[in-house]
Amino acid sequence: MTSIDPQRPAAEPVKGESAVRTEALTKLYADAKRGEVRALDGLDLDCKYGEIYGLLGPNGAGKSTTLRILATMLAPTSGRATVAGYDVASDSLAVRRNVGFLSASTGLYPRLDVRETLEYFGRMHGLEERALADRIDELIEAFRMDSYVTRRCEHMSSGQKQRVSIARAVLHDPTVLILDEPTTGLDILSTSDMIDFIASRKDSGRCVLFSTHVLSEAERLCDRIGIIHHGRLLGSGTLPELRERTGAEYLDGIFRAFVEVDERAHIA
Amino acid sequence: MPPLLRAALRIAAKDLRSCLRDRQTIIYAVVLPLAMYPVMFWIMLQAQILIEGKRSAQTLSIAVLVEQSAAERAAELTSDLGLDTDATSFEAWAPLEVLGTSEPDLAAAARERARTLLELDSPPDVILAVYSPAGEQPTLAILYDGARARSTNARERLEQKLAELAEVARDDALESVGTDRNELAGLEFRPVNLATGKEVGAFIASMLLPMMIVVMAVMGAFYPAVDLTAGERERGTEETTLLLPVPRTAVQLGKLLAVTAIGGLASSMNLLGMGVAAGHLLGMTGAGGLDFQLDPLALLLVAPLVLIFVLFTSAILTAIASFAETFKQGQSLLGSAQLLFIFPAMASSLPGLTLTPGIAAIPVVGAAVGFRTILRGGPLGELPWGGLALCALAMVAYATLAVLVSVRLLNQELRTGGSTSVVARLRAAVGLTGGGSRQIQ
Amino acid sequence: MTTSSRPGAGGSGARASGGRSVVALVARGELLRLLRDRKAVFFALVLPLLLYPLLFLGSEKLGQASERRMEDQSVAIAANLEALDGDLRQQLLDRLPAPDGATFSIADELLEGLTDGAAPEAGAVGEDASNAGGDDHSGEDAQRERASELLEELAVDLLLVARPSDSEGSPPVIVAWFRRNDESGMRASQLIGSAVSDLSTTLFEARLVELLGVDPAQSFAATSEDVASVADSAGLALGKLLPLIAVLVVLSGGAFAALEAFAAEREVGTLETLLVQPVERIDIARGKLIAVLATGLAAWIGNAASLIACAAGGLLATIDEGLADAPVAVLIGRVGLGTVIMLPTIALIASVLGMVSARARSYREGQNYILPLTLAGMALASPAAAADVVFDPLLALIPVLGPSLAMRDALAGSLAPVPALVALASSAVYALLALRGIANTLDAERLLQGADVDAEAGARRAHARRAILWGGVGVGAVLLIGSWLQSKDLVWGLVATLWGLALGIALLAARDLGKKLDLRPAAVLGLTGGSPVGVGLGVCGALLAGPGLGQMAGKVLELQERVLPMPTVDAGAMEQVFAALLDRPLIVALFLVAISPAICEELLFRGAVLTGLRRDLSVGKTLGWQALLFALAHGSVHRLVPTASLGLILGLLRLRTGSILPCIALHASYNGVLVAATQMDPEGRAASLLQHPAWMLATIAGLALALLPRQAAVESTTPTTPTKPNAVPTADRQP
Repeated sequence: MTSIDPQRPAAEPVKGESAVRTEALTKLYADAKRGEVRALDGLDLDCKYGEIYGLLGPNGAGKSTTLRILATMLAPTSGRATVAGYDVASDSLAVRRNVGFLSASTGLYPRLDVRETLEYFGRMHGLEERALADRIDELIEAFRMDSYVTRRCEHMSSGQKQRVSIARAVLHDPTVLILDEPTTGLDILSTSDMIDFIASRKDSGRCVLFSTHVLSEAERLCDRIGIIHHGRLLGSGTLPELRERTGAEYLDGIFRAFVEVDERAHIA
Repeated sequence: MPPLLRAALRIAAKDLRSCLRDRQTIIYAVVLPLAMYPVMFWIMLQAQILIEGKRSAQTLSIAVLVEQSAAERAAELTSDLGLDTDATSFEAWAPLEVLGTSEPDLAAAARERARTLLELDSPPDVILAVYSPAGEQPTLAILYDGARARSTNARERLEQKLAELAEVARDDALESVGTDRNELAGLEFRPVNLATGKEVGAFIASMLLPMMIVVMAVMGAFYPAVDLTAGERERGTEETTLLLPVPRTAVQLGKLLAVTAIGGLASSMNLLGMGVAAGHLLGMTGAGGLDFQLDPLALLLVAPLVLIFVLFTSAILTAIASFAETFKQGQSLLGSAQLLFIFPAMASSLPGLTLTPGIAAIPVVGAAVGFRTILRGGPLGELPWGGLALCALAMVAYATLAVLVSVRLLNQELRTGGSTSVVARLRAAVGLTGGGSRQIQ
Repeated sequence: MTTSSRPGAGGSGARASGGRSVVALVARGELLRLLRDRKAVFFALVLPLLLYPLLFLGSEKLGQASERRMEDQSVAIAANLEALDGDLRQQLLDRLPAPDGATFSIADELLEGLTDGAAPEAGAVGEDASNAGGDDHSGEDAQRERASELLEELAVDLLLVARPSDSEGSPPVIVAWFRRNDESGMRASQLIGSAVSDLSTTLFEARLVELLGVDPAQSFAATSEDVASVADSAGLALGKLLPLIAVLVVLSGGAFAALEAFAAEREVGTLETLLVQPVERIDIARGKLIAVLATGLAAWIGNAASLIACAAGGLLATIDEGLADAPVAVLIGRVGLGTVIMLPTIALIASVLGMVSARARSYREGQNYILPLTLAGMALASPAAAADVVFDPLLALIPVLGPSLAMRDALAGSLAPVPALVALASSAVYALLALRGIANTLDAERLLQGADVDAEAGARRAHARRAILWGGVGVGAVLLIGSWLQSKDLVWGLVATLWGLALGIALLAARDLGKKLDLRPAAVLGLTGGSPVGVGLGVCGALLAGPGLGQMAGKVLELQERVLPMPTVDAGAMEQVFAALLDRPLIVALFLVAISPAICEELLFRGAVLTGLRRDLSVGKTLGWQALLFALAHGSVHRLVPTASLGLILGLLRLRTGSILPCIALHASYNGVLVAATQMDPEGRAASLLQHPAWMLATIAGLALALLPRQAAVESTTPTTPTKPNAVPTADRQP
């Protein structure tokens, strides 16, 4: 039996310090039909505590691959990535302990109810029973889940499920929250709840890194935005910075400008 | 062509195409059947050779239990069995065991002693007791422990050895008086088989194949039946199909045809794989020995009936699978339903069952007996055409019924609003949910 | 929506969650969720529990019914016994009509045409009328025809005709004409056959006693008596059944849990959720495995309990009458012991199921793998159904088979401790290996990719996989089609197998792999590789070493015969085949036995397959795979070790010299010794020369000559340290 090394006290997040950092991150896939696919091609990323960072890009740009590498779900082919000060390759357990990860494909067990779900994952994190119970009560209240707390996940609406999923991801109060297209498939009310939630994380000095292709979300929420295309970070900065660099007013224009520059560079 | 059938064929073609593009279906219907049986038969054959080799090379030990007055005979036997010279067939277990002459019941005493010996830590494999009750001729008793494989083998070997010795003794004695066993023989029995190898092959095929056809048809239709019903429901593609502007009966019929096609493919591949593997690999060792060639005419004749049977099987399995909500559920539901087919098929392997109208109408039994009748061969005029026709008609009727039940189920579900439990579906199917009786067609 | 900052439960309040507690947590969670799916539990676990006993009992009853039916059926026999003298005739008649109301008619006048002419030969096995043709069989053919007509005409199942003896000093003949494709006819023949042989034996013994005064065989007559206790006999009867049931039940119950725990969870997406938790993946795998194990074990215990209950209730009297009398406590104890011995096997089955389901991308896919597993399990457990298979340490090593035999013996109360321990230990090792396999499979990489995308590591082995596939096709073709061809005509079949199948597949594989590897087919086959000098040295060394190696292989076979003896029947058959091939003009024999296999097999295994393997795999794995395929192509357990060792040497030769030619030379001279020994050296003088130490030295020298100078390796793209993930093998292909 392997045993997890005693919990190291997670570095208390200090605003402005790097929470997530990647250097020349590369990921290759082998596809049965297309041969080798370069999902990430030397990606450099730097997100800080107390910051909401949005990764923007079309489908297949490499957003999900990046986030999954950061959540230690995939191993990078080359390059380095650290999350909360831990290396994703050599210290993946410590990374997972400090990260909350949520994507459209992180499902919930259909036959467990809200409390059971949270208890199960809380124990995985090694939370003490008393503390866990308190934390679950707190989350149930915060996410207004009390009306369906004994309902099994298979019988919940997608909005309800999404709340349970978020509660699951922040159960251990991670310093870094990684969200892969968190609003996909949600209705208007749930989307708005989600946006509120993301905004709330910033106040406590946490880092939120999320991917989206909804431009308005990014405009509204993000302190900084990274534009990713063909596995490369084409540009990154605050919205005003990006506007200045491209001369475009709205994000769609900014995005197009970056892609055009990139493609021209490629042809030349 | 009636529009219903045309729509059904179109849906079937669509389903078929998507199934044939699915890797899993291809593995199930073609790759597995063709690869699995040869490998399995080869492994079994090798295992058998391995075990047989070990058995023939085994050294077994024998304890000889002697009562004083039979000591001379025992000594002869020991030398006849080669215990004191070579140990090729038996090795002697310890020196001779002696049995007291004073025992009133020598047989019982020998048995008792044998039990004690066999319970030792390293016991002899078999015990040969030699005793002469009250001065009579010496009696031989082989005592063994039937619960031990070595002992069973040792008994067999000893019996065989003694029989050989007996034959030699007879021949020697006869030779000494100048004659041989042929001159003393009473009668010679000569069985003459009038059937040709082909006919015998057909006969054996008729014994084995019907059961195989039933099993393979069920196995073949199993996966597509679940996949196209519960699987579609799970993947959420069922709704898309239901949105088509065609009658539900056509949808269900189309599905049935697709299941039949895939099921038929899988069944024939299974039969082929198994037949090739069994025929070639077992024939190779000489275990087959028979000219196991099937009569093409019989195969041609049996094919339509098999096809109808596959249709029938597919219809029943599809109907059962449509009760399930998920692939998994459908799968376990059909796992049990399989037995409904296999058991009657076993029953129909009873000899002497003929295709009377009553039997022809019993679902699986009729078909199995029908297969047997056709495969047995014989003049065309003598085939029970009426019974076969009845059997085919009955299967088509059952299949139709199954389609109707699943269409009814589909409609009930639309009315009650989708996702319900198996029990609710079952109730819906038999019409217990009340509600309007208007069919959505 | 807000969350408070850092509750007490956060990072600082968390305690270390050890691996053990994670395993327990996962296992508990799995079982809880399994049990909550009531319907699935009912269908997968409870229903079989109810149905299997029913099925067993039902098939038993069916067997009895069928037997009864057979016995009840009357048979119709028409007989002409005129040729027998009155007394003998009466004795035969006395024995004949007795059993179950056979209709018996003496129809002397009707059987004309069968009573004169030469008596026919016995034809037990279906003999084609056309095949019977020979020099003087026309009379017999006419008789057969007449007999067929009469069977129809009289509507009887069998015609019985007595004939006077064929020659002086032989007994009268009773001919039975019947059809072997007719149940009643076969049954009639059995009845008559046993009656005739019974009478014949009686007559023989009576005459013997008359002549000699006493039957000398009498003094060898022995009665056999089974002194096993009731409990042992009954236990054995049950023990023959239980291993198969255990394997099946554990497989079906375990499959249900395994598919749920791995394949289905992947489909729902919860596996991803699980893998982002801060726990080791191996612990998750272990936890899930424990759940699978528990389910399989529970299914087995349920079934075993119901079987014991059935046995105690006398329901299994058809299996063994003693079962009802055997003390229940003893039965429970023995089943318990058997279960303990089966435990590692149950764990192994659980692990294999886990591995298979973890590999599957969906529930559907997982399901596909269960059937072959079930069949394999059945095949391995079935030898335990025979009472006379001796449980020994060698068989104990075979997974499932060994423990099945152990369970049978445990039930019979005759379990030998040494093999039992071997079985326990070896199964435990296999189970652990499989467990490691699962942890590797539970790699998030595979899990997260779409249906057509394979893991990075997997794709890096694409060439090797293709090569193995081609090798497998070759093995299958040689074993299935080749052996069939050879059964039709040995020589031409062999030629077709080698020059048609093996060579054809080698060329196709070379073409296909050549495209993938960017090489010319000739290069894939190894025809163009290596430096002239190196290849020349290799060929010389190979020719020098071949005969000695061939001689050594004989020694290996002799040694092997001690642990793995070959049944005399099979050994004889193999010798016959060799004799048939070798007993020809020298050139032909050399061509068939030495040159053809050398060229065709080498081009396939050392040529195409090895090149493809080497592109992706390390030297060790390359050698291992091609040797395994080469050995499998010889299709026999007994030839596995010698052929695999030869394959290793040949593979090394190809890797070292870069050319196929030395391999062909070695293979040809290795096989050629056999030809030379039988044809030119019947006294074995050369063989003794080959065993001479000097020749051994020459062999070693030859090998050294061929192997030591490393001239040109077969191209490989494997980095020297293949574990390093950062090494990007094909980066240069990018624009």
